[in-house]
Amino acid sequence: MHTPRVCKILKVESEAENIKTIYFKDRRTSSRIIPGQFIMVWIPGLDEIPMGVSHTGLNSELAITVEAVGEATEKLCSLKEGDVIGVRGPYGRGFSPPGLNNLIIGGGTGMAPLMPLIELCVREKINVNVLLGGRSLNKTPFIKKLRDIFNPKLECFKVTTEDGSYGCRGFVTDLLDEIISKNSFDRIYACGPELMLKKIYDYCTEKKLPLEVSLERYIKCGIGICGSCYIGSYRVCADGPVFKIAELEKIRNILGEWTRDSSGRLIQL
Amino acid sequence: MNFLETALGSIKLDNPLIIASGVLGTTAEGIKLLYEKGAGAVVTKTTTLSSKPGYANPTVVSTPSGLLNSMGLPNPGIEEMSREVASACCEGVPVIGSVAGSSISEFIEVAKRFEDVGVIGVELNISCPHERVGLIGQDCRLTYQVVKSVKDSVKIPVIVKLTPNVTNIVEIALEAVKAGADALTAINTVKGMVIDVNTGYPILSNKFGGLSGPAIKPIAVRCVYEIYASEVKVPIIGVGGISNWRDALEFLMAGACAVQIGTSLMKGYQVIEKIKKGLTGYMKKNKLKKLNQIIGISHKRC
Ligand SMILES: Cc1cc2nc3c(=O)[nH]c(=O)nc-3n(C[C@H](O)[C@H](O)[C@H](O)COP(=O)(O)OP(=O)(O)OC[C@H]3O[C@@H](n4cnc5c(N)ncnc54)[C@H](O)[C@@H]3O)c2cc1C
Ligand SMILES: Cc1cc2nc3c(=O)[nH]c(=O)nc-3n(C[C@H](O)[C@H](O)[C@H](O)COP(=O)(O)O)c2cc1C
Repeated sequence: MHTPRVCKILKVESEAENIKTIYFKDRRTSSRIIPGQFIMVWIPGLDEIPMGVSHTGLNSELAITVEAVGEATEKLCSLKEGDVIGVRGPYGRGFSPPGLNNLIIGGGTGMAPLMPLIELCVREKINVNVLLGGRSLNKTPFIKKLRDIFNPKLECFKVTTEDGSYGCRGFVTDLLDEIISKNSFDRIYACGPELMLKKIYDYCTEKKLPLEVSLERYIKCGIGICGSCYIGSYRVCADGPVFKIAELEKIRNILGEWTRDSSGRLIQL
Repeated sequence: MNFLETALGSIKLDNPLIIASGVLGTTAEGIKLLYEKGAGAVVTKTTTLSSKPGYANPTVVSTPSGLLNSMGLPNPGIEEMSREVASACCEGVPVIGSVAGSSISEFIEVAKRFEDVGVIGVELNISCPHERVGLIGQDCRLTYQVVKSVKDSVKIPVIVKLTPNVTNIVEIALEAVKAGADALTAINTVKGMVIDVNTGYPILSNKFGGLSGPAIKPIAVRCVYEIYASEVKVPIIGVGGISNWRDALEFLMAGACAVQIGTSLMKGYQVIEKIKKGLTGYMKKNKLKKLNQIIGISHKRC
């Protein structure tokens, strides 16, 4: 069961600079996955790494969106149609189902696991507001996909870039006050760099808002036994990767401050 | 009344369920949670003098009735691990420090550092099938040397964890006891391999790994039984494939005073309380008062 299932790559799309979306089919994952859960992607002979699922389509079609940041992700980004990867999962606890009015906040590739949630909201005509943050137009994934999904007049999709090359200049967190004062959300979902998540956490704690975030730690087994991905007493792979605000309260001193490397050594973020 | 108290020589345990090394016992908070969830004691991840990143992923792959792992002993090194362990020991958690090293002096140093922070004992990992330390436990002379050296350097009980990957496990057990081992743990994982037939690649990055889970239980029970039947008279901790109270009972009957669980924690922490409840129920139903009344009884049945 926890053995990689080898899948052929159906299609590779360039999503942004150094970011690719890779399409493949895996029936087991597609029939079980809840938005926010992750899979372990095996690159035969090289590595196996955790990845969010960024699209769930018809006929067991799935996609991952990968940013090249090191050896394994660079290799993944260089793969072509017809090449193979292995996948096992889906693993972990995903996001809770959307409420009546939802806010989704993604930073860079952190938007990946949130994409199926947006797809779900749009498909079911559930109210959803999306904030996407990135460094610049060229480096921010999903802009085109989200623009295609949303009607620009509805004002429910906003982008920020650090250099102002697209959308508003600045950080997604700069838009929080405005969007939250104008709406009443019964779910706020976020994924992205941990410092961004920490800011959102602090904001939502102060305003008592129902936040859920997806976190990252060094994942090895993916099934909750090896103890590599602890954050406090939570195992990111089995108890997360999605955590609710009440759970984040217990790890607020670690959030945005500390992570652990492959050996388990503490590292300042 | 607590029906489940047990002892490993001078180590007294509230219940015989110990968390096996390498399964979640990597940080202070992880260790504390395992104790809160009902474990009698927690063995730490095997620790070496300096930090080790472990092997590249894939480090774990499953087979129909077991799990094959080749983590490569990732650990932050004794300096950081002793801080994590100190924090758990301070709160009264019974922790056993798992020790490995690439030299005798490293074994001694790591064991002493564990002793300094208040562990109830150390467990020498001379049995990891995918690591060089595993070679120690396959050789009588090396086993004697390592165990004796550590024994001469610490005052706390020294437990020796044995490998099943030998022709005669009793021979190694005897050597460990001759060198002063206070207790034995049997068994570490069984060396194995999985190949992906679509690509021809061995799945684990290290090619070979150690098999755990239900697949190895009969091997582990046999090992405990053989050691108990030999001249070895120190307490035995049984481990390998325990996932319910009947499995645990089987090990006790074979001669184990306590058991460890690892892979079955994959199903959730509640497995700990379930096994304890099952064992307590068995004791009551059979009007037994102490685990001593069942430990090793299989040896009287033939
Ligand atoms: C639940 C989860 C979901 C993720 N989803 C996505 C996604 O959708 N898209 C995406 O581009 N990235 C995602 N990541 C991050 C991705 O796993 C890492 O970028 C990748 O593992 C880096 O590997 P590398 O060999 O390319 O880089 P390296 O050079 O090995 O490392 C670069 C960074 O990635 C981290 N990393 C390396 N291996 C792992 C590992 N096994 N687990 C966690 N972190 C690791 C390192 O600590 C380091 O900070 C996710 C991570 C987690 C935990
Ligand atoms: C993921 C994993 C990591 C392990 N790491 C260690 C380790 O660091 N040191 C050690 O002595 N044994 C280690 N083991 C072996 C276990 O402690 C135990 O002996 C073995 O898994 C058999 O028990 P089980 O079937 O209940 O898991 C590990 C086992 C697993 C599954």
